[in-house]
Amino acid sequence: MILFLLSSVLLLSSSLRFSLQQTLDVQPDFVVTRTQGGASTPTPLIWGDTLLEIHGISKVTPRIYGRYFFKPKEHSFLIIGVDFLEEQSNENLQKLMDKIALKAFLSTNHMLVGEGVKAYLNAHFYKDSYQFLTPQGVFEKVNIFKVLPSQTNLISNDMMIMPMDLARKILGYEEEHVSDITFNVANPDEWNMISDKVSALHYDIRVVNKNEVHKSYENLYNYKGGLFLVLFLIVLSTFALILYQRYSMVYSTERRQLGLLRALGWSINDVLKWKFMETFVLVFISYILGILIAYIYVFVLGAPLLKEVFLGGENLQNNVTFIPVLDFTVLTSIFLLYAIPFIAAVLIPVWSVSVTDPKEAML
Amino acid sequence: MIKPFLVVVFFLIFMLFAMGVHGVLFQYGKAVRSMQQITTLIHMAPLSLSISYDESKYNLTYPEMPGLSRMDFIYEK
Repeated sequence: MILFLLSSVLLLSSSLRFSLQQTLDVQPDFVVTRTQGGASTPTPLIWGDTLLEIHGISKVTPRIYGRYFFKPKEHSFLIIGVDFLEEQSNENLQKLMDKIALKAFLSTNHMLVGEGVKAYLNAHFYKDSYQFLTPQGVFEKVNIFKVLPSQTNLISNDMMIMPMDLARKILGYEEEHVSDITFNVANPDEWNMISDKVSALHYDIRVVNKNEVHKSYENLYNYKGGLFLVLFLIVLSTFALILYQRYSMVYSTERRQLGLLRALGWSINDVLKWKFMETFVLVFISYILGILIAYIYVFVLGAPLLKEVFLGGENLQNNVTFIPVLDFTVLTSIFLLYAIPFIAAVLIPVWSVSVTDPKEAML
Repeated sequence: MIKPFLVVVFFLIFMLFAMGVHGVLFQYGKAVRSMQQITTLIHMAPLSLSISYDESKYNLTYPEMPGLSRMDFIYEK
Protein backbone atom coordinates (compact mmCIF):
# COMPACT_ATOMS: atom_id res chain seq x y z
CA MET A 1 0.00 0.00 0.00
CA ILE A 2 2.79 2.42 0.97
CA LEU A 3 4.74 1.49 -2.14
CA PHE A 4 1.66 1.80 -4.32
CA LEU A 5 0.94 5.32 -3.06
CA LEU A 6 4.52 6.52 -3.39
CA SER A 7 4.94 4.96 -6.85
CA SER A 8 1.63 6.50 -8.03
CA VAL A 9 2.76 9.97 -6.97
CA LEU A 10 6.17 9.63 -8.57
CA LEU A 11 4.83 8.07 -11.79
CA LEU A 12 2.23 10.82 -12.10
CA SER A 13 4.71 13.64 -11.57
CA SER A 14 7.22 12.13 -14.05
CA SER A 15 4.46 11.76 -16.65
CA LEU A 16 3.33 15.39 -16.23
CA ARG A 17 6.90 16.64 -16.42
CA PHE A 18 7.57 14.52 -19.53
CA SER A 19 4.45 15.83 -21.30
CA LEU A 20 5.35 19.46 -20.60
CA GLN A 21 8.98 18.95 -21.61
CA GLN A 22 7.80 17.64 -24.99
CA THR A 23 6.02 20.93 -25.65
CA LEU A 24 9.09 22.95 -24.74
CA ASP A 25 10.84 22.29 -28.08
CA VAL A 26 8.07 24.00 -30.01
CA GLN A 27 7.52 26.89 -27.62
CA PRO A 28 8.85 30.33 -28.55
CA ASP A 29 12.34 31.14 -27.22
CA PHE A 30 11.43 34.48 -25.64
CA VAL A 31 8.36 36.25 -24.30
CA VAL A 32 8.28 39.99 -23.69
CA THR A 33 5.60 41.77 -21.79
CA ARG A 34 5.03 45.22 -20.40
CA THR A 35 4.99 45.55 -16.63
CA GLN A 36 3.62 48.19 -14.34
CA GLY A 37 4.31 48.03 -10.63
CA GLY A 38 5.47 44.43 -11.08
CA ALA A 39 2.24 43.27 -12.74
CA SER A 40 1.83 42.50 -16.45
CA THR A 41 -0.18 45.05 -18.42
CA PRO A 42 -1.24 45.11 -22.11
CA THR A 43 1.85 45.26 -24.31
CA PRO A 44 1.98 47.76 -27.21
CA LEU A 45 1.79 45.95 -30.55
CA ILE A 46 4.37 48.32 -32.00
CA TRP A 47 7.04 46.72 -29.80
CA GLY A 48 6.91 43.80 -32.25
CA ASP A 49 8.22 46.02 -35.07
CA THR A 50 11.07 47.25 -32.87
CA LEU A 51 11.99 43.64 -32.06
CA LEU A 52 12.12 42.72 -35.74
CA GLU A 53 14.77 45.38 -36.31
CA ILE A 54 17.21 43.54 -34.02
CA HIS A 55 19.49 41.24 -36.00
CA GLY A 56 19.04 37.58 -35.02
CA ILE A 57 15.38 37.80 -33.98
CA SER A 58 12.80 35.91 -36.01
CA LYS A 59 9.17 34.74 -35.78
CA VAL A 60 7.86 37.72 -33.81
CA THR A 61 4.32 36.78 -32.80
CA PRO A 62 1.86 38.80 -30.72
CA ARG A 63 -0.36 36.79 -28.36
CA ILE A 64 -3.78 37.62 -26.99
CA TYR A 65 -5.08 35.54 -24.14
CA GLY A 66 -6.83 35.88 -20.82
CA ARG A 67 -9.27 34.23 -18.48
CA TYR A 68 -13.01 34.67 -18.85
CA PHE A 69 -14.96 34.38 -15.63
CA PHE A 70 -18.23 32.45 -15.86
CA LYS A 71 -19.82 34.46 -13.06
CA PRO A 72 -22.98 32.54 -12.08
CA LYS A 73 -21.06 29.40 -11.19
CA GLU A 74 -17.65 30.84 -10.36
CA HIS A 75 -15.77 28.96 -13.05
CA SER A 76 -13.33 30.31 -15.60
CA PHE A 77 -12.08 29.56 -19.12
CA LEU A 78 -8.87 30.46 -20.89
CA ILE A 79 -9.51 32.43 -24.07
CA ILE A 80 -6.74 32.38 -26.67
CA GLY A 81 -6.73 34.40 -29.86
CA VAL A 82 -5.00 32.96 -32.93
CA ASP A 83 -4.34 34.63 -36.28
CA PHE A 84 -5.78 31.87 -38.47
CA LEU A 85 -5.01 33.77 -41.67
CA GLU A 86 -1.31 33.34 -41.01
CA GLU A 87 0.02 30.46 -43.09
CA GLN A 88 1.82 28.67 -40.22
CA SER A 89 -1.22 28.80 -37.89
CA ASN A 90 -3.44 27.59 -40.70
CA GLU A 91 -1.12 24.65 -41.34
CA ASN A 92 -0.93 23.78 -37.63
CA LEU A 93 -4.69 23.88 -37.31
CA GLN A 94 -5.10 21.50 -40.24
CA LYS A 95 -2.65 19.10 -38.59
CA LEU A 96 -4.32 19.31 -35.18
CA MET A 97 -7.94 19.13 -36.27
CA ASP A 98 -8.20 16.63 -39.07
CA LYS A 99 -9.81 18.16 -42.18
CA ILE A 100 -11.22 21.30 -40.55
CA ALA A 101 -13.13 23.59 -42.93
CA LEU A 102 -11.33 26.87 -42.25
CA LYS A 103 -13.61 28.86 -44.54
CA ALA A 104 -16.67 27.79 -42.56
CA PHE A 105 -14.81 28.38 -39.29
CA LEU A 106 -13.97 31.98 -40.20
CA SER A 107 -17.35 32.75 -41.81
CA THR A 108 -18.96 33.79 -38.50
CA ASN A 109 -17.95 33.91 -34.82
CA HIS A 110 -16.68 30.40 -34.10
CA MET A 111 -14.41 28.88 -31.51
CA LEU A 112 -12.66 25.59 -30.78
CA VAL A 113 -13.14 24.42 -27.21
CA GLY A 114 -11.43 21.95 -24.91
CA GLU A 115 -13.27 18.85 -23.67
CA GLY A 116 -13.75 20.30 -20.19
CA VAL A 117 -15.30 23.51 -21.55
CA LYS A 118 -17.61 21.58 -23.85
CA ALA A 119 -18.83 19.34 -21.03
CA TYR A 120 -19.36 22.33 -18.75
CA LEU A 121 -21.25 24.39 -21.34
CA ASN A 122 -23.38 21.36 -22.27
CA ALA A 123 -24.34 20.94 -18.64
CA HIS A 124 -25.36 24.62 -18.52
CA PHE A 125 -27.53 24.53 -21.66
CA TYR A 126 -25.02 26.18 -24.01
CA LYS A 127 -24.91 23.27 -26.41
CA ASP A 128 -23.92 25.04 -29.64
CA SER A 129 -22.89 28.55 -28.66
CA TYR A 130 -22.05 30.85 -25.78
CA GLN A 131 -22.86 34.53 -25.18
CA PHE A 132 -19.79 36.37 -23.91
CA LEU A 133 -20.21 39.64 -22.07
CA THR A 134 -17.50 42.05 -23.26
CA PRO A 135 -16.03 44.76 -20.99
CA GLN A 136 -18.08 47.27 -23.03
CA GLY A 137 -21.23 45.56 -21.76
CA VAL A 138 -22.15 44.10 -25.17
CA PHE A 139 -23.04 40.44 -25.64
CA GLU A 140 -21.02 38.56 -28.25
CA LYS A 141 -22.44 35.25 -29.44
CA VAL A 142 -19.78 32.70 -30.41
CA ASN A 143 -20.65 29.29 -31.88
CA ILE A 144 -18.81 26.15 -30.87
CA PHE A 145 -17.18 24.78 -34.03
CA LYS A 146 -15.33 21.69 -32.82
CA VAL A 147 -13.88 20.14 -29.68
CA LEU A 148 -10.09 19.94 -29.36
CA PRO A 149 -8.57 16.40 -29.33
CA SER A 150 -8.66 14.62 -25.98
CA GLN A 151 -4.90 13.91 -26.16
CA THR A 152 -4.33 17.61 -25.53
CA ASN A 153 -6.49 17.79 -22.39
CA LEU A 154 -3.51 18.48 -20.17
CA ILE A 155 -3.19 21.84 -21.91
CA SER A 156 -6.50 22.48 -23.61
CA ASN A 157 -9.15 21.31 -21.16
CA ASP A 158 -10.23 24.83 -20.13
CA MET A 159 -9.33 26.48 -23.43
CA MET A 160 -11.36 28.41 -26.01
CA ILE A 161 -9.43 29.11 -29.21
CA MET A 162 -10.88 31.80 -31.46
CA PRO A 163 -9.77 34.33 -34.09
CA MET A 164 -7.54 37.04 -32.65
CA ASP A 165 -9.93 39.95 -33.32
CA LEU A 166 -12.77 38.17 -31.57
CA ALA A 167 -10.57 37.37 -28.54
CA ARG A 168 -9.47 41.01 -28.49
CA LYS A 169 -13.11 42.13 -28.38
CA ILE A 170 -14.12 39.68 -25.62
CA LEU A 171 -11.08 40.35 -23.44
CA GLY A 172 -11.26 44.12 -24.00
CA TYR A 173 -7.87 44.68 -25.63
CA GLU A 174 -7.50 47.84 -27.73
CA GLU A 175 -6.35 47.60 -31.36
CA GLU A 176 -2.79 48.65 -30.55
CA HIS A 177 -2.36 46.31 -27.56
CA VAL A 178 -1.70 42.57 -27.09
CA SER A 179 -1.13 40.36 -24.01
CA ASP A 180 2.53 39.79 -24.84
CA ILE A 181 4.91 39.23 -27.76
CA THR A 182 6.99 36.13 -28.46
CA PHE A 183 10.03 35.71 -30.66
CA ASN A 184 12.73 33.19 -31.55
CA VAL A 185 16.49 33.51 -31.66
CA ALA A 186 17.97 30.77 -33.83
CA ASN A 187 21.45 30.86 -32.27
CA PRO A 188 21.35 29.90 -28.54
CA ASP A 189 24.76 31.56 -28.03
CA GLU A 190 23.13 34.88 -28.78
CA TRP A 191 20.35 34.48 -26.21
CA ASN A 192 22.02 36.47 -23.44
CA MET A 193 23.09 39.25 -25.78
CA ILE A 194 19.63 39.51 -27.37
CA SER A 195 17.99 39.41 -23.93
CA ASP A 196 20.14 42.37 -22.83
CA LYS A 197 19.40 44.27 -26.03
CA VAL A 198 15.65 43.75 -25.70
CA SER A 199 15.67 44.64 -21.99
CA ALA A 200 17.41 47.92 -22.90
CA LEU A 201 14.65 48.88 -25.34
CA HIS A 202 12.15 49.98 -22.71
CA TYR A 203 12.19 50.61 -18.97
CA ASP A 204 8.94 48.72 -18.38
CA ILE A 205 9.73 45.53 -20.33
CA ARG A 206 10.04 42.03 -18.87
CA VAL A 207 11.91 39.42 -20.91
CA VAL A 208 11.48 35.72 -20.13
CA ASN A 209 13.40 33.05 -22.01
CA LYS A 210 12.70 29.36 -22.53
CA ASN A 211 15.44 28.24 -20.11
CA GLU A 212 13.52 29.79 -17.24
CA VAL A 213 10.36 27.98 -18.33
CA HIS A 214 12.42 24.78 -18.56
CA LYS A 215 13.62 25.27 -14.97
CA SER A 216 10.09 25.83 -13.73
CA TYR A 217 8.99 22.61 -15.49
CA GLU A 218 11.86 20.77 -13.78
CA ASN A 219 10.73 22.05 -10.39
CA LEU A 220 7.08 21.49 -11.15
CA TYR A 221 5.53 19.05 -8.71
CA ASN A 222 8.88 18.27 -7.13
CA TYR A 223 7.63 19.68 -3.87
CA LYS A 224 4.43 17.61 -4.01
CA GLY A 225 6.43 14.45 -4.87
CA GLY A 226 8.88 15.37 -2.09
CA LEU A 227 6.06 15.75 0.41
CA PHE A 228 4.84 12.25 -0.35
CA LEU A 229 8.42 10.97 -0.14
CA VAL A 230 8.77 12.43 3.36
CA LEU A 231 5.47 10.80 4.39
CA PHE A 232 6.71 7.53 2.90
CA LEU A 233 9.96 7.71 4.86
CA ILE A 234 8.07 8.33 8.10
CA VAL A 235 5.76 5.38 7.49
CA LEU A 236 8.66 3.17 6.40
CA SER A 237 10.75 3.98 9.46
CA THR A 238 7.75 3.17 11.71
CA PHE A 239 7.27 -0.09 9.85
CA ALA A 240 10.98 -0.94 10.16
CA LEU A 241 10.86 -0.21 13.89
CA ILE A 242 7.87 -2.54 14.34
CA LEU A 243 9.74 -5.29 12.46
CA TYR A 244 12.89 -4.71 14.50
CA GLN A 245 10.88 -4.80 17.71
CA ARG A 246 9.18 -8.05 16.70
CA TYR A 247 12.46 -9.87 16.11
CA SER A 248 14.26 -8.51 19.13
CA MET A 249 11.48 -9.29 21.62
CA VAL A 250 12.73 -11.71 24.26
CA TYR A 251 9.95 -14.30 24.05
CA SER A 252 8.93 -13.99 20.40
CA THR A 253 8.25 -17.10 18.29
CA GLU A 254 10.79 -16.01 15.68
CA ARG A 255 13.47 -15.89 18.37
CA ARG A 256 12.62 -19.43 19.45
CA GLN A 257 12.56 -20.61 15.85
CA LEU A 258 16.04 -19.19 15.25
CA GLY A 259 17.32 -20.78 18.46
CA LEU A 260 15.91 -24.13 17.36
CA LEU A 261 17.61 -23.91 13.98
CA ARG A 262 20.90 -23.05 15.66
CA ALA A 263 20.46 -26.01 18.04
CA LEU A 264 19.85 -28.28 15.04
CA GLY A 265 23.25 -27.36 13.69
CA TRP A 266 22.60 -24.40 11.37
CA SER A 267 25.50 -21.98 11.26
CA ILE A 268 25.01 -18.22 11.74
CA ASN A 269 25.74 -17.82 8.04
CA ASP A 270 23.00 -20.35 7.11
CA VAL A 271 20.43 -18.59 9.30
CA LEU A 272 21.30 -15.19 7.88
CA LYS A 273 21.19 -16.52 4.28
CA TRP A 274 17.78 -18.10 4.84
CA LYS A 275 16.32 -14.96 6.44
CA PHE A 276 17.85 -12.76 3.74
CA MET A 277 16.32 -14.85 0.96
CA GLU A 278 12.93 -14.94 2.70
CA THR A 279 12.91 -11.16 3.21
CA PHE A 280 14.23 -10.44 -0.27
CA VAL A 281 11.43 -12.49 -1.90
CA LEU A 282 8.89 -10.58 0.20
CA VAL A 283 10.41 -7.21 -0.62
CA PHE A 284 10.71 -7.98 -4.33
CA ILE A 285 7.15 -9.28 -4.70
CA SER A 286 5.69 -6.33 -2.79
CA TYR A 287 7.80 -3.90 -4.84
CA ILE A 288 6.68 -5.35 -8.18
CA LEU A 289 3.08 -5.51 -7.00
CA GLY A 290 3.18 -1.88 -5.77
CA ILE A 291 4.65 -0.59 -9.05
CA LEU A 292 2.22 -2.62 -11.18
CA ILE A 293 -0.86 -1.48 -9.28
CA ALA A 294 0.44 2.10 -9.39
CA TYR A 295 0.95 1.84 -13.18
CA ILE A 296 -2.59 0.58 -13.69
CA TYR A 297 -4.00 3.20 -11.32
CA VAL A 298 -2.19 6.12 -12.98
CA PHE A 299 -1.97 5.22 -16.65
CA VAL A 300 -4.99 2.96 -17.18
CA LEU A 301 -7.51 4.38 -14.71
CA GLY A 302 -6.25 7.99 -14.97
CA ALA A 303 -5.33 8.38 -11.26
CA PRO A 304 -8.76 9.28 -9.84
CA LEU A 305 -8.52 11.42 -6.65
CA LEU A 306 -4.72 11.66 -6.81
CA LYS A 307 -5.03 13.58 -10.10
CA GLU A 308 -6.81 16.35 -8.22
CA VAL A 309 -3.85 16.79 -5.87
CA PHE A 310 -1.72 17.66 -8.91
CA LEU A 311 -4.16 19.30 -11.31
CA GLY A 312 -6.79 20.61 -8.91
CA GLY A 313 -10.52 19.99 -9.03
CA GLU A 314 -12.15 23.32 -8.32
CA ASN A 315 -12.74 24.57 -11.84
CA LEU A 316 -13.53 22.22 -14.74
CA GLN A 317 -13.48 18.43 -14.66
CA ASN A 318 -10.34 17.26 -16.48
CA ASN A 319 -10.18 13.75 -17.96
CA VAL A 320 -6.49 13.53 -18.79
CA THR A 321 -4.84 10.44 -20.23
CA PHE A 322 -1.35 10.45 -18.78
CA ILE A 323 1.47 9.39 -21.09
CA PRO A 324 3.07 6.23 -19.58
CA VAL A 325 6.58 7.14 -18.49
CA LEU A 326 8.73 4.74 -16.44
CA ASP A 327 11.67 6.69 -15.09
CA PHE A 328 14.23 4.05 -14.06
CA THR A 329 16.09 6.38 -11.69
CA VAL A 330 12.82 6.89 -9.80
CA LEU A 331 12.06 3.16 -9.79
CA THR A 332 15.55 2.33 -8.53
CA SER A 333 15.36 4.98 -5.82
CA ILE A 334 12.02 3.60 -4.62
CA PHE A 335 13.49 0.09 -4.51
CA LEU A 336 16.58 1.12 -2.57
CA LEU A 337 14.63 3.33 -0.17
CA TYR A 338 12.23 0.48 0.50
CA ALA A 339 14.43 -2.63 0.32
CA ILE A 340 17.45 -1.58 2.41
CA PRO A 341 15.60 -0.46 5.59
CA PHE A 342 13.23 -3.45 5.30
CA ILE A 343 16.02 -6.03 4.97
CA ALA A 344 18.14 -4.33 7.64
CA ALA A 345 15.21 -4.26 10.07
CA VAL A 346 14.98 -8.06 9.77
CA LEU A 347 18.63 -9.08 9.47
CA ILE A 348 20.10 -7.03 12.34
CA PRO A 349 17.91 -8.61 15.10
CA VAL A 350 18.21 -12.04 13.42
CA TRP A 351 21.99 -11.74 13.59
CA SER A 352 21.90 -10.65 17.24
CA VAL A 353 19.70 -13.66 18.12
CA SER A 354 21.85 -16.06 16.06
CA VAL A 355 25.04 -15.15 17.87
CA THR A 356 23.53 -15.86 21.28
CA ASP A 357 23.51 -19.32 22.79
CA PRO A 358 20.65 -21.46 21.31
CA LYS A 359 19.48 -22.38 24.84
CA GLU A 360 19.08 -18.72 25.74
CA ALA A 361 17.35 -17.95 22.46
CA MET A 362 14.76 -20.70 23.03
CA LEU A 363 13.89 -19.56 26.54
CA MET B 1 2.72 -23.51 0.55
CA ILE B 2 3.93 -23.85 -3.05
CA LYS B 3 0.44 -23.42 -4.56
CA PRO B 4 -0.30 -19.91 -3.18
CA PHE B 5 3.23 -18.90 -4.11
CA LEU B 6 2.70 -20.08 -7.69
CA VAL B 7 -0.64 -18.23 -7.83
CA VAL B 8 1.11 -15.00 -6.77
CA VAL B 9 3.87 -15.55 -9.33
CA PHE B 10 1.37 -16.16 -12.15
CA PHE B 11 -0.62 -13.11 -11.06
CA LEU B 12 2.53 -10.99 -11.14
CA ILE B 13 3.51 -12.31 -14.57
CA PHE B 14 0.01 -11.58 -15.88
CA MET B 15 0.11 -8.03 -14.51
CA LEU B 16 3.58 -7.45 -15.98
CA PHE B 17 2.28 -8.72 -19.31
CA ALA B 18 -0.76 -6.41 -19.11
CA MET B 19 1.53 -3.47 -18.31
CA GLY B 20 3.80 -4.34 -21.23
CA VAL B 21 0.84 -4.62 -23.62
CA HIS B 22 -0.52 -1.25 -22.44
CA GLY B 23 2.90 0.34 -22.84
CA VAL B 24 3.37 -1.08 -26.35
CA LEU B 25 -0.14 -0.26 -27.57
CA PHE B 26 -0.18 3.28 -26.15
CA GLN B 27 0.05 5.82 -28.98
CA TYR B 28 3.02 7.82 -27.69
CA GLY B 29 3.63 9.44 -31.06
CA LYS B 30 0.07 10.65 -31.46
CA ALA B 31 -0.16 11.96 -27.89
CA VAL B 32 3.14 13.87 -28.08
CA ARG B 33 2.40 15.16 -31.61
CA SER B 34 -1.03 16.51 -30.57
CA MET B 35 0.50 18.33 -27.60
CA GLN B 36 3.20 19.84 -29.82
CA GLN B 37 0.72 20.83 -32.53
CA ILE B 38 -1.54 22.71 -30.13
CA THR B 39 1.50 24.41 -28.57
CA THR B 40 2.69 25.52 -32.03
CA LEU B 41 -0.79 26.80 -32.84
CA ILE B 42 -1.27 28.92 -29.73
CA HIS B 43 2.47 29.65 -29.11
CA MET B 44 2.25 28.57 -25.47
CA ALA B 45 1.66 25.51 -23.29
CA PRO B 46 -0.41 26.61 -20.30
CA LEU B 47 -1.06 23.67 -17.97
CA SER B 48 -4.82 23.31 -17.62
CA LEU B 49 -5.02 23.45 -13.85
CA SER B 50 -8.49 23.12 -12.41
CA ILE B 51 -8.08 25.78 -9.76
CA SER B 52 -10.52 28.44 -8.69
CA TYR B 53 -10.47 31.80 -10.46
CA ASP B 54 -7.29 33.43 -9.28
CA GLU B 55 -8.10 36.83 -7.88
CA SER B 56 -4.98 36.82 -5.74
CA LYS B 57 -3.03 38.32 -8.61
CA TYR B 58 -5.03 41.48 -8.08
CA ASN B 59 -3.76 42.79 -4.82
CA LEU B 60 -6.83 44.36 -3.24
CA THR B 61 -4.90 46.80 -1.08
CA TYR B 62 -2.36 47.75 -3.73
CA PRO B 63 -4.07 46.98 -7.07
CA GLU B 64 -0.97 47.75 -9.14
CA MET B 65 1.07 45.06 -7.37
CA PRO B 66 0.71 41.28 -7.90
CA GLY B 67 -0.12 38.98 -5.00
CA LEU B 68 2.86 37.34 -3.39
CA SER B 69 1.71 33.76 -4.00
CA ARG B 70 1.83 34.06 -7.78
CA MET B 71 3.58 31.57 -10.09
CA ASP B 72 4.92 34.56 -12.08
CA PHE B 73 7.63 34.90 -9.50
CA ILE B 74 9.17 31.66 -10.76
CA TYR B 75 9.96 33.42 -14.02
CA GLU B 76 11.55 36.40 -12.32
CA LYS B 77 15.29 36.69 -12.50
